Amino acid sequence: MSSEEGSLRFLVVDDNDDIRDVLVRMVERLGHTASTAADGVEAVEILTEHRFDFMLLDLTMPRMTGDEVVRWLRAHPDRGEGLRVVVVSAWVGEQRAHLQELGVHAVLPKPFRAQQLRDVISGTLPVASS
Amino acid sequence: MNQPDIEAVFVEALQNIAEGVTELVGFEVAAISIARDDHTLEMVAVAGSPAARDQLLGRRTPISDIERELLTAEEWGDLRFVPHERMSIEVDDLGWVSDLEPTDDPDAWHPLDLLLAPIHDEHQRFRGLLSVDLPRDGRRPDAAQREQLQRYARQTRRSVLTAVERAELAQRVRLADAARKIVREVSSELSIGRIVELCQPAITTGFSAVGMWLQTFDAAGGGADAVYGATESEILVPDEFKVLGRVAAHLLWSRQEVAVVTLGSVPDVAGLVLDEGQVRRLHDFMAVTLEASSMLFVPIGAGLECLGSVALTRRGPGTDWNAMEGRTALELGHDLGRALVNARTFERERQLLQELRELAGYKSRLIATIAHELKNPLTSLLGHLDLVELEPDLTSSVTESTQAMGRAVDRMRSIVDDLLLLSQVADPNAALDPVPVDLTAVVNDVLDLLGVTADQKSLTIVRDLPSTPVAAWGETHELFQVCANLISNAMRYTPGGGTIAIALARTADDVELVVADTGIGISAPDQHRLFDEFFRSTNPAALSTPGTGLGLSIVHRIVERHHGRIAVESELGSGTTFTVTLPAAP
Repeated sequence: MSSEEGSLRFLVVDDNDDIRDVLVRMVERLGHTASTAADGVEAVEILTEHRFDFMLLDLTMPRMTGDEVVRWLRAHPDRGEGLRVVVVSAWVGEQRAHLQELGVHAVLPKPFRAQQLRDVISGTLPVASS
Repeated sequence: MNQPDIEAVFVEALQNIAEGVTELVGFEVAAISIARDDHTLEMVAVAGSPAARDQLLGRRTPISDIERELLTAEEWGDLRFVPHERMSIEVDDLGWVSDLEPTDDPDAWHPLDLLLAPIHDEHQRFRGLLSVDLPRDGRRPDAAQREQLQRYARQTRRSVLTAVERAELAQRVRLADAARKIVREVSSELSIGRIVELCQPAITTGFSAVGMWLQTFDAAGGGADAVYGATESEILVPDEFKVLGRVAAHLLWSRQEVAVVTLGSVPDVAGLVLDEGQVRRLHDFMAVTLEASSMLFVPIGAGLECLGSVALTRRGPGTDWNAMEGRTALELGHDLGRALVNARTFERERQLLQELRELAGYKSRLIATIAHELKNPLTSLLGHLDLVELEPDLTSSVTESTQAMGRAVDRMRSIVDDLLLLSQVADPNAALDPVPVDLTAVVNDVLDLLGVTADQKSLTIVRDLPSTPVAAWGETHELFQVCANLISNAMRYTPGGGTIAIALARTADDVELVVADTGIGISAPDQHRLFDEFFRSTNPAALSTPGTGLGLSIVHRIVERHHGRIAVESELGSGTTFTVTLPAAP
């Protein structure tokens, strides 16, 4: 599953450059690797080609929203195998239940601290890997 | 006078005429019938032979039967004589036949001879009948007798027509008054269209009209007049007549008059000039489109202001509008005017309320959008602060800076969170879905959360909470915010060592939450503006404590949308007490 011991593969999906940048640096600081996508369409393209352990997914994006990416994953279960989806969004308030129903593993409301991201990652990992 | 009384009076008059015919003209039997709505003639007065009277009184004969007989009758001036040999009515249908022996003498009266005086009104409608039988001398009447009978026939005609007209008039006035009553009773909280819909049946029936059009004038004086075709709505009133109607109605209202338009004549309304083309088009519109023979045009208004007009149409002959109907219709114009004013006021208020709701909704959406937009830069700031703090070997100067930035970001976060909450609770379109919320549990949760702060400041917390649940109708998260804001405010503005007392009690219909502190207090002028958004105290002691200026407005909004009340009592330097009252749930 991981490229090296304890290291996980992340896909960071957000239309905001600064957010992508800060998330990638946080993930790398935690010793993992990260790829990026600037919207849902790019995310789906990358998910078709590559496998990831985690996807940090924004909801409101142009072209294809985070919600649509999650629905695409449901329609393509082979691409979502072993992938944990964490929604990172400013708009999660009322959607939490709906997102969990769609198969989202965790929700991280913006803004967040590095410690919160760490907690979400470890809390979402299967017991064996954490 | 009501209908039966009028009938009794004219039946008595007709009976006198019939008796005059038997006594003075020399017939054994005289009978007078009047036309009824079912196209029959009813005998209402019979004089002479009691046998004839018994059999004939109240008898009804179809008008068409009589008209058929009259086709073959000899014309004796106003009288019609049907010799027995030409008669087509079956003997059995005559009702009463004298036991006179027929003879071969051509001048002798035959028991089946008919001598009639049909009564038509000015529009040639069959309204009544005088019939005589059995001349005392047994002869068919001579010229002198015919002349005498003819005089009685004319008298009968006058009496019958007057009686019929009075009865009709009384009926119409009664119905028109009923129509006015309905217009007056129409609730003010209705749209104009609804008023027209509700009143139309009573008005058209009351005024014996086939059509009714109500035009309201655009209050702003523009061209947006509305026409409510209550009876034949598929008929569109041409703009030309809307404009004419507007001018005519204003002129008529100022003179407090109505106008009658017929196919033959357009009324002379002082100040209103119609050219030939307009008169012709009005004639054609009435004759062809409306198929009306006459129209009563009534201004609608209130006070000095003319607000609209109502046009009532009649179809067919004999459709004049009399003066009484005109006066009643003008009163109707006053009644409708009051209804229109009420409806307009109601409509304006409704629109204003709608605009305010939309504005409040827009404000909420704007606040929510801005708050959300601030979250991305905040995320970036916070993330980079964390990354910087993870760097090794930071100087104390850098650490101080990152900590200061951290506090600033935290403060922005609380403003953004409060803004989002405010946008949610201030949005009139965001419906509340209330459930019973146990406030005892909510207060305990809040105190658990804030316990650390209380300990840090050595505040004494006095809980006066019932041991059983106290439920209010509401939304848990929002009521939590109310308690959390009030209690954290109390802690924030009470110096160390002070006391915060929280009491919860249930009254008959309400739940009452009281949060009292021994803090710095709020001045009377500040108390008035306490719940305004972003209001910060003028008290320097309060300003030194950070706050968003939104907490109390959020509390106020939440309490309001829960149909509750909030009151504040305070004195500078001695403390503040907030009392929240919410509707109790079972």
